[in-house]
Amino acid sequence: MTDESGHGKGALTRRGFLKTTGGAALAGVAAGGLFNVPQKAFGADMPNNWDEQVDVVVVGSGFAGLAAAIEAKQAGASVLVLEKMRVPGGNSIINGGVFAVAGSAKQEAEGIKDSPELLLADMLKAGLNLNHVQLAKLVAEKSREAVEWTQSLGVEYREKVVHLGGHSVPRSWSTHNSSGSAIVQKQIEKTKQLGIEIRLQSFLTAIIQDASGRVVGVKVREKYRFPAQDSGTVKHIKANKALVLAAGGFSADMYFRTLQDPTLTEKVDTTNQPGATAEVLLEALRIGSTPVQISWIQLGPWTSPDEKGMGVGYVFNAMAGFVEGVMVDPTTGKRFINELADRKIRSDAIFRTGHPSVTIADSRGVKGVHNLERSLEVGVVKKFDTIESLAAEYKIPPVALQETINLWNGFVEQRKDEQFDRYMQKDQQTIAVGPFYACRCWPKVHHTMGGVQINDKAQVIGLNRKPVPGLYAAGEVTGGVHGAVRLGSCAVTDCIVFGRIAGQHAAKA
Amino acid sequence: MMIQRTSEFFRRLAIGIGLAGLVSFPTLILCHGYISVHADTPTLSSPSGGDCQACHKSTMVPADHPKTSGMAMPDCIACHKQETPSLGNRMPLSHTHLLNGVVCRDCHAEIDPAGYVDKGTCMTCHKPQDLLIATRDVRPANPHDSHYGPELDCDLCHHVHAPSENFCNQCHAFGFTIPSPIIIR
Repeated sequence: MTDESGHGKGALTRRGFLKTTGGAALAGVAAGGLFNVPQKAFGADMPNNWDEQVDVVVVGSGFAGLAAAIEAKQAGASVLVLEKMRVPGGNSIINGGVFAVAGSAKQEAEGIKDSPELLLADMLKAGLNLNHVQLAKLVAEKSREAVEWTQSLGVEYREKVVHLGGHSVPRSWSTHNSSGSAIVQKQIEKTKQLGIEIRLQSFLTAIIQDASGRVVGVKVREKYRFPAQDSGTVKHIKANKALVLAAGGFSADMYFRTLQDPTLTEKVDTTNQPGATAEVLLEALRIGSTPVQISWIQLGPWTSPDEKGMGVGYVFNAMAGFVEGVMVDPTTGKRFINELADRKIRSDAIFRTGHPSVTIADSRGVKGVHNLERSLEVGVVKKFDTIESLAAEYKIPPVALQETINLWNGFVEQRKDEQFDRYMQKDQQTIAVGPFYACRCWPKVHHTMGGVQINDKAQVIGLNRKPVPGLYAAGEVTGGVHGAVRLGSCAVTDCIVFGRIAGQHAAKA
Repeated sequence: MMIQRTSEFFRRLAIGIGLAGLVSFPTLILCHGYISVHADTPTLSSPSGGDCQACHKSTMVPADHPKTSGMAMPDCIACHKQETPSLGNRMPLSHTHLLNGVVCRDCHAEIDPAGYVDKGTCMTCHKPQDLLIATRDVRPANPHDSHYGPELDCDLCHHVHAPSENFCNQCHAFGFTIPSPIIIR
């Protein structure tokens, strides 16, 4: 970089920046793969003057970023949180608000036996043993401590744990509003109390290293207006101690996600907010962070084609249809998969049928669906007096559907699913008491398991197999914790556990 | 973009100031003496009242409409209630602000370029807690009481110099409309 006036019209655009400094690197990616990228000389981006300095810069204002910011500040560091969007919270603030906790008092109260070892085993099974075990183990072991930390911030949870797909037992805590916003809002409150600034519309365009390769700061565009790459003004912020990357995944990055999984074209919707894009991940790779399992991209099976994005119907599917009811293929009226299998197994099974499936629960099964009224109002969940009228609406063969329900009800009475061996809830009830409710399912892109490699201190590991000095990462921007498939409610746990670890170590870096 | 256009306007203005006859007087003499709006955007003629015809000619205001110069928002509302053609979704927020006596300087500390306004500026008049109550019956969700909390940037939905938009609908498909503003051209 030669011209670094930094402000106003003279500032180089991101595209210009790539052309002048990273063009060779990009050509390297195209021609020889990531590992042959010619590294830029360390210190090449160093500005003559820093506009501002702070001990710890955190990129991203979701669960992980805010947890890191709070811990770093409490450990004595000055902290600045950068968020590229015009709203805080990233995907976390629109997330479903379920938190995997292994071995809690809530479980004990219901007589459910659980342990960190069992959660780890579940994570490894769903993750096809691609998980970096040391990282996954930390998440399982610290899950209880992590949820208690959020309680100390004032986050309220429902009384009963919920059972999500792929977990051996019900263990997930659900926030009082079934939304991650319940956690993020309390984290934001805490940052205000601690005097931590969350600076919106601040977009990271370069990670700056000194001559030794230590990360010493960032180049950002302030007053940035997503997605206009050239908007805002360039500023250089020095990170005296460390930079924490908590920028999330890339489910909404059409270019990069289709590059990793060409089947996930624009025809497949996403649950993610529009800012779930890959720029920070790519910048971390550009400076030599090690990529881990970037092409494992997860679809959520509980989303509905009858609404945009995450929508509201997932609550009915996850809390009622898959747990208290059944899911059927509308052309046959039959169940086709264990409704509590992991997300990949369910999503793949739905895709294999070639059309949206239908979940069904009765009036007793919907008790945990806090947003039922809104879901009915939006029209994504529908209500019927009889199974016949439900079958007619979705063009399901009515006799076959009634047979499926009778079969399931028999399994419930004998407390054994002889068809798919689905877990029986302690208070599992039959599907028998109207009105009946139903929702269509069609998977949407939900989570990107891969990202940069980290160690148990949340240090980013470089291609030289050593930690990149001054660089930490946590949450969806990292890879390894979840392996091939993330279990539902493990993302929140991962983000809080590693966000806190990153903040604690960054403050001492 | 808009800002650049303003600069361009100033350049053209400097050259052509002597040719003011090319542009009608009210489009040059603007709010409180500041020329702050964009060359191609019709503007109100004074902060104390709206001379609609000066900018809109007969295309916007019917020929038999009472003369509007000197009128303020309460005067407009006196006739434009629900029954008669409502102004609620027709007049840009720039117009309703000015007709309520809020001039450019009240929101924009800098006029050239007039940058984006911080939500704190809006909140000096519009209190989040009042808005939360005002829209509590909006279905299917109260837009001022969302998972984002009560203090979102107002400009995510309510644009003053451009058509407003429903920010919720980047993820949802809510049917409610933002009460304001299509730009009248």
